[in-house]
Amino acid sequence: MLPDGVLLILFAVYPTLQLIRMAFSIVRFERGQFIWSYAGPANFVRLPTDPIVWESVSKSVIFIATTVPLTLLLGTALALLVDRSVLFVGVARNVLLWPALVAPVVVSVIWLLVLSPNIGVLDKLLATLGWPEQGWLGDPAGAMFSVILVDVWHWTSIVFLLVYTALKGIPADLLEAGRLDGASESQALRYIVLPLLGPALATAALIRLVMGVKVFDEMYLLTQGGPGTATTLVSLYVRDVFFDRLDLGYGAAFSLAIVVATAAVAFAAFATIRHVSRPVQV
Amino acid sequence: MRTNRRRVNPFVEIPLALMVLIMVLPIAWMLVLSVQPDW
Repeated sequence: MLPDGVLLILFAVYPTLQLIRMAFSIVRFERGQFIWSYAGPANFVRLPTDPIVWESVSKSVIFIATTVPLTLLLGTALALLVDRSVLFVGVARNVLLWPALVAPVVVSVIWLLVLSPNIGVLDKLLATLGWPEQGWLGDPAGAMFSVILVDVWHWTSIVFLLVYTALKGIPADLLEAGRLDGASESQALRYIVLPLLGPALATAALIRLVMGVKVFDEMYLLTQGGPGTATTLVSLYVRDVFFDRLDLGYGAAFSLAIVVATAAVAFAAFATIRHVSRPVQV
Repeated sequence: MRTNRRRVNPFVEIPLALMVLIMVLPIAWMLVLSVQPDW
């Protein structure tokens, strides 16, 4: 208990308290030292007046609202397909985990080799079909589409893993009982399988939501938030404020606002999902 | 969750094969480029 408490205070409570303190301060870096001065809520007051804050929040909302449902949908579909497959079950179970095992830096390189205007294979393939060159990473809409594509490709595996594990945990006799009662394949899916997958889907949704807020590596390496601010998600803007502008107090205030907003959304989403997908009474 | 169905269903196998292909192609392309002499 005591070592746990010490570790918790050292690595969770203390940094969080420092972040809160920083959010209410102006921190300057002078002669090798950080000089803190209390600023009250000034950093928080600045937040709504900063247009890039709103832009990054809206980009993140678009990103999360697209990637989370897409990964949930594809991951669940893949889990159901693998569960019903006879020919590819072994290969699919193996290969579908690969993207999640690849480091984000390598994922960025992989997708640069696919999407880059110079060396990308996708444009070359499309050219053979007579399509003009697409601005995957150079055009604002194309860049957002690309980072969404990369994220969905990278993290569908995690949803697949969670849902497939839950699917394997559903007792076969439940389905047999359903079939004996005359349930068709789609009715068994709708009334037995999906409700029993509810908790796994809720967990996957929550994990993906938090991942969507934290997402950084691939976006930073693929687009650096550009072109312009087209893919400046909140995490990229926080990095910009902290490390490029060295505006530590403001960065801390923005980080804190993101944490509070994410916790609120996650809490609301989790409560809703739990309400909607109550486990069936057996 | 598998029950005693063991028949090959093309509506399962073909979409699954395509999805697996999509997941593996970007990695495969990097591997192909990585063994090119001028890369």
